[in-house]
Amino acid sequence: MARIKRIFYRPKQLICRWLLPCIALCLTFLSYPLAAATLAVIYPDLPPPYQQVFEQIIEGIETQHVGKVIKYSIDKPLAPDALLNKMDTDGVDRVITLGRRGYAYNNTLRGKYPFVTGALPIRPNDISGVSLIADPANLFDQLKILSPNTRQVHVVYTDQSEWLIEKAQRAAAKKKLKLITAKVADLGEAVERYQTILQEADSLTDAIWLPLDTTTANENVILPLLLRESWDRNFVVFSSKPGHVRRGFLFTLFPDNMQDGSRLARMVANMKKGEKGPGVELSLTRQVGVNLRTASHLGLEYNATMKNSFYQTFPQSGF
Amino acid sequence: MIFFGRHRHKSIWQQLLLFLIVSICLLSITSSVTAVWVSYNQSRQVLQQNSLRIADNLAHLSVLSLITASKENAHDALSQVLGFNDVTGVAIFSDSLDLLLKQGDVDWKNSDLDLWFPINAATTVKNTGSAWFIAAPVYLENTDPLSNDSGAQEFSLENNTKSLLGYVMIKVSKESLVKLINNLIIYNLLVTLIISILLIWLLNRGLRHLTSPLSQLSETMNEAQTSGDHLVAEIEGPREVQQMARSFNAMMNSLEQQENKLIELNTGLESEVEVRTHELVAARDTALVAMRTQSEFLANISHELRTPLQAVTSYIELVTEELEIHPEFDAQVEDLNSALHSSQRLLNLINAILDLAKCEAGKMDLSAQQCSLTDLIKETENTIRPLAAKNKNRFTIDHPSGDLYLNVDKEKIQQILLNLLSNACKFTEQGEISLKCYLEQNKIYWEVADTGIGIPKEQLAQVFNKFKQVDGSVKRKYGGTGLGLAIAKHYAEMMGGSVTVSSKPNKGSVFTFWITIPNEEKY
Repeated sequence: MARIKRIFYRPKQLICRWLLPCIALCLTFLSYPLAAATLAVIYPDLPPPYQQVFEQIIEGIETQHVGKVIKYSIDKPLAPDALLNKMDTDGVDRVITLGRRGYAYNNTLRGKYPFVTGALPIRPNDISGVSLIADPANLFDQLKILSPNTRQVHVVYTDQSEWLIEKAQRAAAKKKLKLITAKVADLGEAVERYQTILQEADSLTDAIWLPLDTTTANENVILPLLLRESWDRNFVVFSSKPGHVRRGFLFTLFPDNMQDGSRLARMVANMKKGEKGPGVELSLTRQVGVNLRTASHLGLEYNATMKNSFYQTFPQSGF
Repeated sequence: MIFFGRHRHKSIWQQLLLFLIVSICLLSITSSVTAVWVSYNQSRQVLQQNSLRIADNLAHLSVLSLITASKENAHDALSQVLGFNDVTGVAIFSDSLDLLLKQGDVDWKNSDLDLWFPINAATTVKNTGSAWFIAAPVYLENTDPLSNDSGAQEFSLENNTKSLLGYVMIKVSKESLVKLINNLIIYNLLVTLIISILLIWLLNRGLRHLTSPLSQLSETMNEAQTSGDHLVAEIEGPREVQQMARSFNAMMNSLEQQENKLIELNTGLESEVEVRTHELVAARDTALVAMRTQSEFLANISHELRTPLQAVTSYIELVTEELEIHPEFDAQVEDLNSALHSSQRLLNLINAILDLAKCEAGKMDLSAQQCSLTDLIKETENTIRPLAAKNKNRFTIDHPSGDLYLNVDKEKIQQILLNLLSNACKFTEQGEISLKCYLEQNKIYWEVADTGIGIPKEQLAQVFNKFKQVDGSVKRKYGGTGLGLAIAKHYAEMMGGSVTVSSKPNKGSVFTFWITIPNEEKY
């Protein structure tokens, strides 16, 4: 009794000895579900420099995800059941698949775990994830910066890229650019269309945008044609594929892997909370790679500040 | 070995040089042929590989033209390929083998196309002596050729697909290859020839230098053999040649020493021979002078003895004839006969000595005359038969049938036969004595055989010496001068013949006398 009395009659002691520990204990119990979130990242085991891409994405995931991240680096094809058993054992409750090998497990994961996909140029279907395809709005932003005189942008596309064109139209309109689109059925039509554009368009105000389309941006036919003709006619050509800037197009956007990883972690966390999958989101990267030689050929000059802001420039030293 | 056998008379450096030249030529030819063959194969492979790559590149360049079915685009692609030196013709076909465009010199038959296509990669579809026809498929691929590894594939959802658009064909001439091979052959031969000449020149000098000590040694040996001098070889060159030179020099020294000794011995011998020769000449001259003096003395003394002796004999015969008329002087007659007989013997002895002396003095002459062999034998028989009968010996004659006329000194032949036969009669009692005459080739033989006492073997060689009889007892028993056989032998030798004897004691003797007769003498 004497002890109880002391508690009730001494409020300062009560707070210090009993109330604060109790509050701390409660907070600990409340925060436990968040800390227990276990995220599995399934990605291919590749040699450098490709491995660096996945490491950056995972780093982005880890900055966003509060909880445990388990990495499943796929060296050899792993049986889906074996992977599921392993994830059960590890207590995984959400999954991010990266790259083609990770993408291959999407059907296995469907209905069992909430999952999103990254590190691929995915197009809208019944999956969610962040595509490697850059948002046309960002592309047009960069176009305005790098080629201020451009007023019209020509794009040739197939069914494969049609979903992007609507977004591009809106983005172009916002940037006060005229997007002239031409849908083609095959490579032959694409060649003809490009030849028409090159003959008819004005190189001072017009530019050509190459979407990530296997037909209208065919590496073996369209690229050599456009590279040669654009060089001869001083056309601004930019591409959605990072590698094209190295080959001589004016610019492209390189993926922001950490940003993509962070977005993927957030996306799968929301899905875990019960939200519906957001579908495919475009890359919001603004990391621009510029071919300074092409720019110089086109008469475009950039000051030092601008050059410092470029993510990569080409040709790189030593080439 | 055949190679060296044919050139065994050449010097060692010539043989070595020849052998090395042949070896170098063989090696050069073999290496040249091999180099040309290897170069040809490698060049052919390189050209073919390059042609395959050109076809692949053309296929790559032809994608646009086949997609657009544009001859203009095809023209651009074909023009680029026609720029290659060896490409003489190009053509592009659609996947259904319809010709899109052809440039340059390239021909085919439609039936060929069905045989050559389809193909999956660049292939030599036809190979003629002058050109290759190389075809390649034209594919449309959707992948980035610069990022086609497995890592890059991980960032793409597109599968690698390729679809056949058509074919390209190039005709590659082999003219440059043939030209290259011709140049290779010419340059190889030239280089080989130059190197061979240089090598041969170097080898010639080197071998001459190496073998010069051997050649010098050989020359020294040859000179030593030719001149007979004891030359000394220079000791130089390789170890073996130096050893040979040392051995040769040692041999020359040894020979020189031996020859010096021989010369010394020879000089001594020659001096001695000269001395002996002088002595012998002096002795011979003395002997000749003595013999001549003796012969002259004998001739003179015989003549001087014979003259009074003949007078004595004549007077004894005269006295004997006168006293024979008176029987009371028979005893004196008998004594006178004994004296006459002794005188006769003395005269005969003197005559014999005179003849022998003449022979030895070289003053006996032959007086050849033609005579009948039959007459000669008959006269001899008449003389000898009484002598044979005296000791109761049987005398037989055997001579060739028919007659033979000889141009000889009849007296001397008869004298020889009488000497031989009288000896036979004298030394044979109650035996047989035979005279056999026969011709053999161009010689005429007289063989006198008896069955008398014979002559011991050790004394046969002396029977022809003058004043020589078998022994003293014989002389005492049978008498005689001992000059008959000596005279017979002298006469026979004067006539180009000889007298030989064979005998066995107590069996008898056979004396054979022969002379050579000229061929023209006939029966």
